[in-house]
Amino acid sequence: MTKRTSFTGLLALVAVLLTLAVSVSCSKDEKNDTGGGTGSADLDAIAKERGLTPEDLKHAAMQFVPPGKHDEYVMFASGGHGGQVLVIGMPSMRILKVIAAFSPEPWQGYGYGADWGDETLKNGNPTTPANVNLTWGDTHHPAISETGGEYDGRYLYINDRANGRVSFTDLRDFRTKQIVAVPNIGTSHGGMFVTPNSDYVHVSSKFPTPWPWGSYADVKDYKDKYRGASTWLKIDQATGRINMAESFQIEIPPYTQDLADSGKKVSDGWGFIGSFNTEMATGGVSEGGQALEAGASKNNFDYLHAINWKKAAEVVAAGKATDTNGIKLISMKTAIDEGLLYLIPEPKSPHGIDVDPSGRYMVVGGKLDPHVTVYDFTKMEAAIANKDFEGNDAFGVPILKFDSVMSGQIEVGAGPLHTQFDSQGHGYTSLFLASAIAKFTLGEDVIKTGEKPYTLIQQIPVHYNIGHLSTTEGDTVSPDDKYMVALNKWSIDRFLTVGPLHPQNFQLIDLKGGKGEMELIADMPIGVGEPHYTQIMKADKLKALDLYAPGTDPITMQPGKDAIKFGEEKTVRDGNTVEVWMSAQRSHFTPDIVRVKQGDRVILHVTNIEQTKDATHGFAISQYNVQASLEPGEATNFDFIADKSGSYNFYCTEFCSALHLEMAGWLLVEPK
Amino acid sequence: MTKLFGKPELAWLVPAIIACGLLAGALFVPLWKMELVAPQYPAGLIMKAYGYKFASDPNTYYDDVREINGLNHYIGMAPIKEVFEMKMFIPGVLALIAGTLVVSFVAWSRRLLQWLIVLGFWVMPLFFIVDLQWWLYHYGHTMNPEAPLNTGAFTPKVMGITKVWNFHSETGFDIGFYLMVAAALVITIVPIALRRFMPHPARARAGNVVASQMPAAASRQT
Repeated sequence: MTKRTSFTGLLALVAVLLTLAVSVSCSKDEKNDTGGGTGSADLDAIAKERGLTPEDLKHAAMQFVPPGKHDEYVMFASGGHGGQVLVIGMPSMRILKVIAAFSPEPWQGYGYGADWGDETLKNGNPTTPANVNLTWGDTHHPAISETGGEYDGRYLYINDRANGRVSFTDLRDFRTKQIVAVPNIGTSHGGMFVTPNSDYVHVSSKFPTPWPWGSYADVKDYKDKYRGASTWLKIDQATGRINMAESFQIEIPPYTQDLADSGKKVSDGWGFIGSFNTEMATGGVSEGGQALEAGASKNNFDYLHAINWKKAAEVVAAGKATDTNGIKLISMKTAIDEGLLYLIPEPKSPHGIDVDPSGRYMVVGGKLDPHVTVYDFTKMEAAIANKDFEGNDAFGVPILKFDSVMSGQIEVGAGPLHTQFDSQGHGYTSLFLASAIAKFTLGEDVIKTGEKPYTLIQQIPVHYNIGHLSTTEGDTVSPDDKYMVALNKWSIDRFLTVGPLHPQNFQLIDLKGGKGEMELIADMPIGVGEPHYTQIMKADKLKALDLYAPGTDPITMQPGKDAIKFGEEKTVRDGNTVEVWMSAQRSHFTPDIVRVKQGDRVILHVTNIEQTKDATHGFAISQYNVQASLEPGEATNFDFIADKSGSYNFYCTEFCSALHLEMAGWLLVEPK
Repeated sequence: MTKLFGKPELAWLVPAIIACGLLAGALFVPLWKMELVAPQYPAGLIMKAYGYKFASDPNTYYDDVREINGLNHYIGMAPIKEVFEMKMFIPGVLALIAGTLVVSFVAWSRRLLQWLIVLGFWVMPLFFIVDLQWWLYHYGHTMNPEAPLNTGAFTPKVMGITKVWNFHSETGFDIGFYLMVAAALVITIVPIALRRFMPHPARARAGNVVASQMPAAASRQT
């Protein structure tokens, strides 16, 4: 019995001692924390030295993402005439990546020999006119695929305004895999806007073009010969690619269609396109005509187009569309007869058309009129049902009575353009001329803050001349009320002067949950192009891979036909064709000497056989203009003629290892 | 002549079966793990050694073993490969389990055979430690002298931290090894403990014979 007692006593003593030791060390740590004064004293000294106000410190804290931590939101911004898409982390406002879309880009190996990029760019050239090799695009409006009206992070689409094309970027590997030259348009603006379940992605023409497509017509015959089109491109759900065979187009009048948006919830099934040149002016300043800026701005009203795409799809299925240059086209007459197209007056050369999260309100920015006009979808449906028309336009399209569809107008300031939303019933409109953003309320049924409907709440200046704006998840059925980004066209004096071509300025604004006052937090220069629109998605919806499964062909996302494993490398000569199956790993290519004769066709199948994150190998051939990026697991193909004799070095262009410089080889082209 | 096979001794059979179960468990789980830590591998590189194979973490698609071999080739270390002993692991374990069950029913030289089985159970984990340390020594001392990076010979520890340049490796035993040790402990200690507390039929009979004789003797004396 004594043995047991003393043992228990010993245990108890040890336990007490341990507890004492732990608590003493803990309190010691606490002492260090408070005693060192790492809190406000240091911060004050820094602020004083750098001339920062308490406001500045607050804003820095609101934006800062500490090293090693990740952003909360990811913003996909168009790169404008850079022909790319920018991926920006928010709130840190750091560019994470630039995705090549319409322009060849060597870092990613897009358009420099690797088949996935070469094919995409080549197939993106229009066939009408012939012999066009486009090497840039004016990327404007990105759209992320949606499910149930919410972003799902699978696919990204963006339009090329200059050439009437659209591109598809796979968000699994952030590579652009398809460019489609949309028939019958030539230019595009009103796109891309996905329908709530990504059935279709919409794009409309910008400037009308002569029809039949590819024919010639002077602008004197504008009204008779020029047409616009609203195009609904079908998305293949499994791959994200655009399926032209199941897409369709609707002929619309030459009113210079502008922006567009897809309806959602109550307005699901409808799309809306604004326009600004119902005057059908065509310029001609040196011919006795007026410049377009005057000629297109005469009328007090232009037309908002309402298109019933769901019904249009049925009309196509019923065989009432005609295959026109590779797409099923519904003529304007058929569209009118089937009740697919209606026009609604919108004041004076308006710009944006945006549908609120509930789907009920369509908001148009006045541009040359200081009002935003809010239309009520339920009123529109009623007006159509009651044939509440004020007549037809010159082409026979019914025009709904303005007062029967409009539900509110708010004077917001000079030059209203685009509107985005929060979940509290507010719209936020960019004011280009006022260089500001206006926050206002929509209809009573969506307001959650008790404010009066159709009322201006707050204006906040931006720097300078804002074009578009974007709120976190603001295009979806459930905006996040967290941040807003102003896409300012002019930066003027906000940054260091870096030559006459100034960067643009993205400004980060805190929305305070939609309930408090908007607050400007930070500036972000964009020096690679002029972004036009962005989509801001919650970062946890990203579904990107960080490497490919072994031997994946990025075009199909399946095992490549010519992918190899280590040990399967070989070179095969067949007549004038030399075919090589090559592997890349740290730090050598196998084979590293390729012997061909001048004039041979050289086919290389290169597989990066690594399976470690970030183990990318580049592949460039000197003087042959070949440069590719091979991600771990990727299998890519090259096909070229060795037309230059000589010894050409090929090497890994992406720093991969301590022996990266030694990762090189020779392409030996024996002269004829 | 004693029978070759007979009724099994429960004090042996029950712990033997438990030990076989624990040992069988060691077939399915790793025996040893190595984690390589370096600044450019914030998540670490993890390799698990099962009795019969080397494997990366099954929960991710990253191939850490491949990466470790890739790194090792820079210092001229041979690629990690399943050696002969590992190929013998599964047959060895199965043989020991089979042997245990057979011996449970053998009557001839029962105690001797049982002690041989106990020895076998101890050989498993002990041989593993010795063999592993030998191979670790071998890998660290047979590096290709023409390799790009020369670290000099070193012996990675079976258990502990080994530092080489920007890497340090943390090694240690994993659950499979502890299962093997547990199996050996069970089959060593439990039969002895059970025999002390459990009446053995032969001993009980012997005791009864003595006891039954005593009252008679006592009664004869009175």
